[in-house]
Amino acid sequence: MKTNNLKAEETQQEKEIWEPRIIGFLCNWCTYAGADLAGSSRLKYPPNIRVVRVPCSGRVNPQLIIKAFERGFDGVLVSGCHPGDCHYSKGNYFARRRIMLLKQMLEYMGIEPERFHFDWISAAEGQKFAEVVEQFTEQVRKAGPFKGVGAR
Amino acid sequence: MRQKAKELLESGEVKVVIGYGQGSAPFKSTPIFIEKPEDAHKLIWNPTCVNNLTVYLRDACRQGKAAIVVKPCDARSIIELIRENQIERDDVVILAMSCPGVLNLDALAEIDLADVKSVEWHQNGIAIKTNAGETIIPSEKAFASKCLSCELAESPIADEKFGEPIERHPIRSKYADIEELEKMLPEERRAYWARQFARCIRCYACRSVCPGCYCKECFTDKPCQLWVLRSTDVESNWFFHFSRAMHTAGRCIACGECERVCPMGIPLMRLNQKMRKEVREMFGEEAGTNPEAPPTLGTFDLKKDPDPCSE
Amino acid sequence: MEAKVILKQDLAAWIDALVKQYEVIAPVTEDGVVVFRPVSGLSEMAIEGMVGPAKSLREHFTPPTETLFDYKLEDLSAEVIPPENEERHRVIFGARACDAAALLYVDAVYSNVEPIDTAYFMRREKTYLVGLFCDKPAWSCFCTEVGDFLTNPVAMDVYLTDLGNRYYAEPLTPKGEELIGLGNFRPADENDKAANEEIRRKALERLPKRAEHETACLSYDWDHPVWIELAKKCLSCGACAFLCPTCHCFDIQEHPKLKKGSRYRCWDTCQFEKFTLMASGHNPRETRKERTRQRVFHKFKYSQERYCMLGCVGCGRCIAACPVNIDIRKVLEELEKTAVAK
Repeated sequence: MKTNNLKAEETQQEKEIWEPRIIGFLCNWCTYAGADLAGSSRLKYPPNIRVVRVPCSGRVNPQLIIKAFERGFDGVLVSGCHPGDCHYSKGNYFARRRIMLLKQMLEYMGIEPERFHFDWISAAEGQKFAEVVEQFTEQVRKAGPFKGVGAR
Repeated sequence: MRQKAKELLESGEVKVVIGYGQGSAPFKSTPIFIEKPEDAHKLIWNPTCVNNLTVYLRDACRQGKAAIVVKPCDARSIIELIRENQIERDDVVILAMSCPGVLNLDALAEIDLADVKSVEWHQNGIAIKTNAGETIIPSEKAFASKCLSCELAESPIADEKFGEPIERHPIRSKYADIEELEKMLPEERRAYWARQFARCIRCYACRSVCPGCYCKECFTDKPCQLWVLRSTDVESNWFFHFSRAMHTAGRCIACGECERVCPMGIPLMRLNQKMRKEVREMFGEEAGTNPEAPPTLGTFDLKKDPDPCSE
Repeated sequence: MEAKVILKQDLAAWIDALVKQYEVIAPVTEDGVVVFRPVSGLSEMAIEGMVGPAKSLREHFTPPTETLFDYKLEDLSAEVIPPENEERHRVIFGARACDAAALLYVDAVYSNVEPIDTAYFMRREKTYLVGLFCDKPAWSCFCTEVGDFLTNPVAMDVYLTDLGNRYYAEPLTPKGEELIGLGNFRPADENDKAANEEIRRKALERLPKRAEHETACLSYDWDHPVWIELAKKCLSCGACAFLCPTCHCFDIQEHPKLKKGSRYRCWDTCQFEKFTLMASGHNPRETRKERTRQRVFHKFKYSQERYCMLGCVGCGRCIAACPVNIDIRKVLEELEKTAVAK
């Protein structure tokens, strides 16, 4: 499409005070609860992450992540229950294969590996959630603003 | 092969034989569907038989038992279709040809195509007869690039085999193209793909020709959706191609049809081969080898699967 | 108007002069594919030995995706932001005779409807065509079968013929003369004219004879068995239609983002199953049989009935690009064979 005027406007504003925009797909049963715990324990973590609650890390269709990068997110975090802990008994094992493959492909498509992170975080690990978000945000900040998949 | 096709139709064992027929030019073949025994002579077998005919198999098998002429590489698609419960093994009669390699039409750039009279296999490659005489195009130039890395001596699945198994000496690494890309910086790779996808006109020829793309409704075809835009901006094209590649992960058998039919010359096999390489390295699987195996991304291996957060 | 000649060594200077005044769009080779792109000089262009560009000129008149307008919503009011117009005049260099002829057909299509498609006609008015004679027609070319525009070009301003070390240039419009005025041309002498004639004769020899599709099409058979044959092979991709210089169908889509968004149109084709799908769920062209028939009938029969011209310029791109070798020439042959028999 002939560059959308609106899109251009948006990026111009963002350039001035750039903050990493990160989207997180969190499993309802573990990581989302972990994020809740981090909140109720008053742990501080960067506000750059926008959370999407999904029923299971196995629900995370690779397309969701591909779409996030297509839309220009600077980083994507996916997190679910530790192996063996899945509420649906094996959703995270399926996720593991898919995400592993996607990870390789993202890099091959030219998205720096620093922009994507996958982790196992349980409902009890509020502290870990805060740390992971903190570290990942810093990592994405270092990688700089994502120029978009169409940038040449 | 013609004889066998005729017999199958005469005995009523199959309703249709899907094979190659003479195309509109001597260097082109076209898919044909033989339903009457007396038409069996229309079947041809020569280096112009490039199509992967298994794309028609699902529809054909729904009408009844079908016979199909395949190259060893295409036969792997049948294994995939059986593996994914799209067809029953008993619904198809596989007429497997032994194949020295198929024609890469780009190799004929220096030959005046309007002048070509016939295209035949030759011990050193492909022989092209024109009004001016015969030209032998050496294998490394004449054959499609997938043929140069082909390791299949004969069809991995067959009911009837025609021709002797062919000794294979791949003269090119399957991954030659992708290794070149892997060496680049991520930034360069992104620019590379952006340039390729900028050309895409979204004719969906890649999808239509793919035997693995059998979804009843493709994610791109859903009406009134914002998930994948119909617009041909680089971002939407990128999303389409990347998604399609992920959808065929573990199922793509590298027949190379998507790349062959792309009118805009987008090197789609560089995407698919990378996927195949990763699937092979990480999960030890190769699409199109085992009709009994569960789908690659529909299963897992507790012990052996790599963990994405172990780094 | 008087024909002129430019030596190839002077071509670069002419292109430079054109680039100064116009946006110059010319064939370039990108990853082995010839596409028409804006260029800044001769060095980028792939004029020499070009057999046929992958895409027609279509995308420069009806882009694959075109924003119609953007909008912003504020409470109960909406602001509509029209797209910016391209101000500069353009020269398309190296256009093929078939692609230029196709523009006349698309003009006819757009002229017949209200409201006027201003975006299209503005592009048409602001674009000048410097054509190039096809001295090496491809195997799939059949332009001479549907018209004589290869030797009597239409919709062009200048027509060039490659004479080896020089180009023979015929200005066809006053604008064409003006464009030629920017280069170091000399009047053509008898030698040049003879060489030009010779090259044309040679090319024509390779191409088919004029056929009478205009009258034959009226008796094309709706229930011809060829449609069943085609339907078996056809994969319903849009390669034929998207490469066709006369195909012009589009779809209108929205891209809303909360309180703003845009409306755009993008190419669509009768070969896609969803093209005729109605909101009720009914699809008048449900199977490939109806869809392949529609394409051929539209190009030959309906166009002839509506605009008194064929909707096909014989560029042969659909033939070369078809994944399953559906050859429109053969389809017509089949149709006309039975028409004559009747």
